[in-house]
Amino acid sequence: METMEIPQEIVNDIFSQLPAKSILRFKSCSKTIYRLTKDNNFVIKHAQNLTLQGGDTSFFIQGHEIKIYPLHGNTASKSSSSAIIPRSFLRFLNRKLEEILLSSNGLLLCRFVQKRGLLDNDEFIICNPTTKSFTSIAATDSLLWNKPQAFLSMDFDQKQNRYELVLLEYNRHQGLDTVKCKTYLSEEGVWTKREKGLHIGYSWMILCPYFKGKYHYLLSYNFENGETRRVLFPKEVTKTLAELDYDDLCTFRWDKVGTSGNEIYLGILDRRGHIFTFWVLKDYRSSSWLMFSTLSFQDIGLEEVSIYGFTVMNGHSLVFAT
Amino acid sequence: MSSSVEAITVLSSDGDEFKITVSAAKLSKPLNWMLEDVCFSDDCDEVPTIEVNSKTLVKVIEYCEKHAPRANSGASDSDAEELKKWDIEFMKMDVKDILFHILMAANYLHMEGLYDLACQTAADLMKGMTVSQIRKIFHIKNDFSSEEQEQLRRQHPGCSFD
Repeated sequence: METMEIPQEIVNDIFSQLPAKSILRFKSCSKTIYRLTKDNNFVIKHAQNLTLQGGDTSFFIQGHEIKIYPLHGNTASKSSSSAIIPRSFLRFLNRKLEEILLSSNGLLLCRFVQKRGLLDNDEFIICNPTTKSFTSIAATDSLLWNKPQAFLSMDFDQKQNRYELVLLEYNRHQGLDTVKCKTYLSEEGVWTKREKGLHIGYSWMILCPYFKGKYHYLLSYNFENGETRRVLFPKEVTKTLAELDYDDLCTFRWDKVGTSGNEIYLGILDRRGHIFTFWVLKDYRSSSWLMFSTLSFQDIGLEEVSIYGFTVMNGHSLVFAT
Repeated sequence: MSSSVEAITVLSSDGDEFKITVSAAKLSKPLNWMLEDVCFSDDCDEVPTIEVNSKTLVKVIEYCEKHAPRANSGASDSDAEELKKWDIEFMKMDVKDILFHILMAANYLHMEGLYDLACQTAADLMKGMTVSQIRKIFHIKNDFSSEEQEQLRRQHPGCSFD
């Protein structure tokens, strides 16, 4: 059909009515369309439209289809889960949401932009979509300006209704070994600098510095003595490292398998080999890893599908966005 | 404001005259303003022009007249159900070739209901299309370099540029 030219905003509105699968198929139309899939306003609008239509396979953070598979061994018993988000909450997010930084057990840490006079003010808010409660938390410089040089992790304990945020900052110019640690506990309500002897839910965590478009090594941070140490990747994956995108790697804790709950696990997505591999760090001084699970695309019924990042939820479910 | 006026005359961008009832015109804010500004003054012999072509305006008015009773008085669920069916039929007709015109008109006339309906219809038509068909109807130029295409293909096997 011969068509008239229509403005980009209207094109966006039409695209927001498409199912996620079609949008992903059409992203190769042009750069503008490609960027749509990464645009927060579009993603939220899209999720809203799907909610109105009763579509239940979309999740608003990614806006794509989310599938969840249990990770035990190689048995991929299919269980998909969908998230229904209260409409009023979506409306709230739609107003000024900039970015969702973290989520833990249903709790979200979001960045909002507030206009105050001429200045844009970033505001960081912890929100719980289920109870519709919101708490603003103080921003730190590294949260505001140095995002690639800071690692943030959040832990939400649903039973006790308390959360803790751990922020690790490093200065790229001073070398990766100078990591500063700050924590924010829900009952304290302020960021506190921690030198050592920090007693939080876990004794150490691993960071994945990604710069100049590459992963080079991992960095472990010990909360007890404040030490950092370089950890090498499993030998088997060093060849594929150069091809890894920022989203192709994640670290997580595996509470159910490990005895102490403090072990570090690593998930790697090999796009070329169409396979996820999962590793546990046996000894961090010698960087020895053990592969304990693999999941090929075929196992989970994926064919010719693009994967947009993945994570391991609550230590036992692989969650990925297609 | 005179209450005796029940319908007003408007001109399309092609210069044809159309009648639209006052209650139907209320579905659009700009039309409503036009009514108040122009048509209800006593010495009104000016006919307002709407920047929409005749073929499109016929459809837009048809939609307004159908939806006006419900929008103005509120309606029962069964009416809503019936209206939904009517919308589907309305969009099934020979609308496809003027769909984008209707979309633009609904946008220009601030008619949210018709706008959403037209967006949804366009999206439904798009689902089965190829990437190059989409580019054609939206006048989109493929601005990926061959390296970028290669990279996208590598990251997302199954991704098509045609």
